[in-house]
Amino acid sequence: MDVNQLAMNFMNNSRQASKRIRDAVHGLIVFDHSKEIEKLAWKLVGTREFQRLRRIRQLGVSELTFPSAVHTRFVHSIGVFHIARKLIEVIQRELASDFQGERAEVALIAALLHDLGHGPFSHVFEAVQQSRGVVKRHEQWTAELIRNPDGEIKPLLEEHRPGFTADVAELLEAENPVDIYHAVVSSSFDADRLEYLQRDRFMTGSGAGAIDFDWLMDNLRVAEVSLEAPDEDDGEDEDLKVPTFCLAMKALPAAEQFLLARNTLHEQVYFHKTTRCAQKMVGKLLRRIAKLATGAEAARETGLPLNHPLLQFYQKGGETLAAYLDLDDSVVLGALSLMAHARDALVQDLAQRIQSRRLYKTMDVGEFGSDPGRQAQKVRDIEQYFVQAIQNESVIKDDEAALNIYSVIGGDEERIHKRLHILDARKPKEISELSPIIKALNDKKMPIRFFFEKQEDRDQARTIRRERHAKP
Amino acid sequence: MQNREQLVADIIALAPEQKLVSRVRLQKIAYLLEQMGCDLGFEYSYHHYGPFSHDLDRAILDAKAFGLVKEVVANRKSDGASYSIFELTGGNGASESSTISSFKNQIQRFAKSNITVLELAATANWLAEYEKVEDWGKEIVKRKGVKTKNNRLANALDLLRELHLPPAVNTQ
Repeated sequence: MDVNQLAMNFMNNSRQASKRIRDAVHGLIVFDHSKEIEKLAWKLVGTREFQRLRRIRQLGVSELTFPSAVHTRFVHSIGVFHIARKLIEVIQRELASDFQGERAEVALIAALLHDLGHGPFSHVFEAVQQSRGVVKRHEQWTAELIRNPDGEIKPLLEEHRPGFTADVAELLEAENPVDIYHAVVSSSFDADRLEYLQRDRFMTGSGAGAIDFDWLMDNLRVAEVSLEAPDEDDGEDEDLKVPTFCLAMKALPAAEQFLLARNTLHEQVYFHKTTRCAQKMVGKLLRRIAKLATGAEAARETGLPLNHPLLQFYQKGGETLAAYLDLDDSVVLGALSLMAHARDALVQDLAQRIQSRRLYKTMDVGEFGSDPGRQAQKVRDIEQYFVQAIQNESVIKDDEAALNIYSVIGGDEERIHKRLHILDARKPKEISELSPIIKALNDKKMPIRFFFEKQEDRDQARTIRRERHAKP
Repeated sequence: MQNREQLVADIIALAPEQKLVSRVRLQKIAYLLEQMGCDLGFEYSYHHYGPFSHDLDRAILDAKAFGLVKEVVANRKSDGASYSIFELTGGNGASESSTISSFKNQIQRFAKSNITVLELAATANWLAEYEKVEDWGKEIVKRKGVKTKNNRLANALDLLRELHLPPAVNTQ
């Protein structure tokens, strides 16, 4: 057999050994087994921790508003891996001989594993925990799951390279970027964002906003921005500058479209008032279960057997990694039929409502007109009238959504490396300085919604006048 | 307690030239004032620039909606990063009875402080007081990385010492 034949055989064997996933958004995603790192990625997909993501929906309860949005964090994570590979090619192209293969491997695997730590209904579960005084975000769960000596992830990572586990976990934990490889998991063009915008748009059926993905990737460059929170200082401290992804000027229209698409998805999908209402109801249910879980009558009150993963987790000292891994969307949704027979009236009512999609009645304060002063006054009037009902949560106020070009739940100022920069005379400039369209969207809006258990309360809220007294 | 939007206006009124630059700065000022015993009543959670109050963010929006404050957006010279400049619309100044009128000197000082130093001071205090992180010094370096270098963390601790706030000062 000659050398060419040997090479051909090797390629054929690799091709046969490689694994393929057919994906509705990205087409064929190949895990090339001639590359050790991709072989590792495929093994990681097969772990118990990663397979759990099949049972956590990417958009949680959005399915109640957009019935086709049933895609999972499993398929999203594989898509993120696929895009991370492309971003690494960009880094290789931009850095040329300065490219560090080992750091790129860390970023690629971190991208694949970035969502491991999500709980059931993701941010809803996190908010419930926060309301119970537990400050542990999904990023921390992710890092713990990766480092877990009893888990299936760490042995695979250490087998690939000793110390690889720590490198991957640290990259995901880092609040601020340390190098361009970090931009693969956290930047204005990180793999997560590039994936979910495409997939969520496709799966919700939203026709609004398109992303010119190939053109954006082709025009991606690397430049330095300052980590310092923006103010009138010049931001020229050299030690605070970090490399991140920026776009060449000719991609400005595509960048505008990208941000507009993102803005539209936030406004129409992520912050949809019905979805927000369903999230609040699931949160209310989980908080009630958590409260009852430690009581002597937990099983009867909640309708759940004592060994149910929810009761196990909410037990005192029950918040272990193992208990967390037992929780996912299907565990909660599957328990609704049991909770629907709970002795506790609130658990029973919420479970039955969620099961049958009999959601609370929603009201967006925007219906009183676009004037911010009038809206703010209306909010005061409703809060004053329903002071008791808001306290007992039969009326829920939702003021957490924040809408502008960098929309984030919670509304904190977006970090500089997560903002979009365009190269203007080879210097990065935040897009809002160059684009009048984007500048117009810079103004922050925080829509306020109320969710009413009773329809008559919503009707009442629509007619409240300032001089009326609080509801008795 | 005063309306929250009025508190926002009062903080701005006490700043030099009744002008305050950056949402992040406004957040850190309110947090530090609260730690110094000024009862503003905002609740905080940890975000990427340190302790952040959603209530305060909402109060800023309400202050704009009720016409107390105006916000102008400017761009940083080096990379075009947009930031907010807050000014009073009426120019009437802080009410004498305001909860915060006795903190004028501190507000003036914070308004001129380096923004990263303020971020680090608020974060160090948060880690020690609220997250109860024993080795807060190690944790803040882990979270804030390069921001803690070039004397910025030392300056933040000097500021806390001056304000008699933990962890620079033991208040137990």
